Amino acid sequence: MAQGRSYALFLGCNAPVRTLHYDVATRAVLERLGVHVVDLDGFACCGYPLEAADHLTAVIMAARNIALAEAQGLDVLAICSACSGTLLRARHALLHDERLRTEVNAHLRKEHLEFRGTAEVEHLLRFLHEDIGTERLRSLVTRPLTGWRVAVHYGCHYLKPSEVVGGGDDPEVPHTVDELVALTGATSVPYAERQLCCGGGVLGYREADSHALIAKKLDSVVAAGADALEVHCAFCAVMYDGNQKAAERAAGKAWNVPVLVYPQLLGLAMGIDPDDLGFKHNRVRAKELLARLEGVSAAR
Amino acid sequence: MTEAPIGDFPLVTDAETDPGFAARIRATPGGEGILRCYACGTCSASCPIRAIDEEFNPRRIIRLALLGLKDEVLRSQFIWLCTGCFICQERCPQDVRITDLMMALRNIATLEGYPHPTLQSIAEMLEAHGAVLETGDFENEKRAKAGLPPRRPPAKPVRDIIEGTGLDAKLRAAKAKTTEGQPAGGKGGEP
Repeated sequence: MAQGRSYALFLGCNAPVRTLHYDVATRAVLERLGVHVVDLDGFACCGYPLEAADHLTAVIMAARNIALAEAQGLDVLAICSACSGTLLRARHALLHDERLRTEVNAHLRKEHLEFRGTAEVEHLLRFLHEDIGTERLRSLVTRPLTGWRVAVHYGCHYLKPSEVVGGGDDPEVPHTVDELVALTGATSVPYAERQLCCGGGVLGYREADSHALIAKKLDSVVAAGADALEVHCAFCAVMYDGNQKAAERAAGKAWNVPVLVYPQLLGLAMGIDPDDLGFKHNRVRAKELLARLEGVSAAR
Repeated sequence: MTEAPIGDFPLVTDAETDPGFAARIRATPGGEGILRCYACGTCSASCPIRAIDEEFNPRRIIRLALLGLKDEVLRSQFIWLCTGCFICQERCPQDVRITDLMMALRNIATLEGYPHPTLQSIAEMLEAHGAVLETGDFENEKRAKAGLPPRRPPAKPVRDIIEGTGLDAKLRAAKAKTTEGQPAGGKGGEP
């Protein structure tokens, strides 16, 4: 664990509004782990949505967020993979391109900010896997989720481009999230469309395509007999949970697959009350799954 | 223009091509690797969008661009269908960096006056709220009930950035052109 480091929690645009459960569960788990996180008022959009319009604009937006954390001596902990991917790719470009860094810093000067590259940027699950470590997490499990069959959705930007964001994962055969799920006592079930993208990137451009990708994924999850789909990206959560009903209407079928963010699984296994893990904010209710938990009487 | 087409494939004539288009792409961030493409099709075979929507075919888009069919590429809807998953970029044996290349094509389309309308909506949201979703009183009340601290992303610094790079002016000019009846970009769903 990065000794003595403090983290600025980077929520992005979706989590604070559309996936409150991810926000709630992340804080609950980090608190239990004794990890102190700070909310920075200045954080804005990571820049990802404008990559399609202008590369430089997107990089400046990313650099601005990182520079805000640097000014406070904080590292950045992002819970959305689109955000962590964008921040990490921008950071990588800025560290390897002095001309770009000069140009970006000229824009940041208006706010008296400077990107220096002193802050680390990490995705929550890489932090849990690599900094906290699976051994320590396993030692904190008091209520193993034995018998839970969970389909892991790695998502794209947690893994790729692998040379910038991938950590120790093989982008084609990743393992870190399977290990994180296994330590909760749940079983990570194999399924055909494990690597499939959620379609979040095409949502604003051709909604029907995004629905088709949701359908392909959830058909595969159901065929594998999974009880739930695990995600660790706010945008993936919006797609599979928030938009599941819309995709069901488009496909003319019903999946009714609960979509849990990883800290919800970990929090349950650590014995945290489901009420403190934001379960009432999941759009597809996980009522039947929660009823299996020992010591939790009220089914939600 | 008098040549007969071969099979179903129309001939490309010099008049329709811009011989400098590939060089322009190569000079745009993300487009540096385009000349390395040898059309193996690993991208199209790996692409999740290609599998469900035949309008999107990365190999074909790269060929069109290399042929210099600038208008056909920049005014198309298909350049906006990449979902940005990076699987083609990861697998490309020629390191074309295709996901970055698709973004470069969109950047050029935006500069040339053909931004997708969704980009206009996204930029407007960002300039007004500092985020693509509004976090107002209603949202913060909901957050408070969930025991979460309020969120108020600052709009001004984001507006300054979008104006400072000239993106705001480009998007406004394209929008003005569209309202005059000239079509820009493709059409899509909600952002």
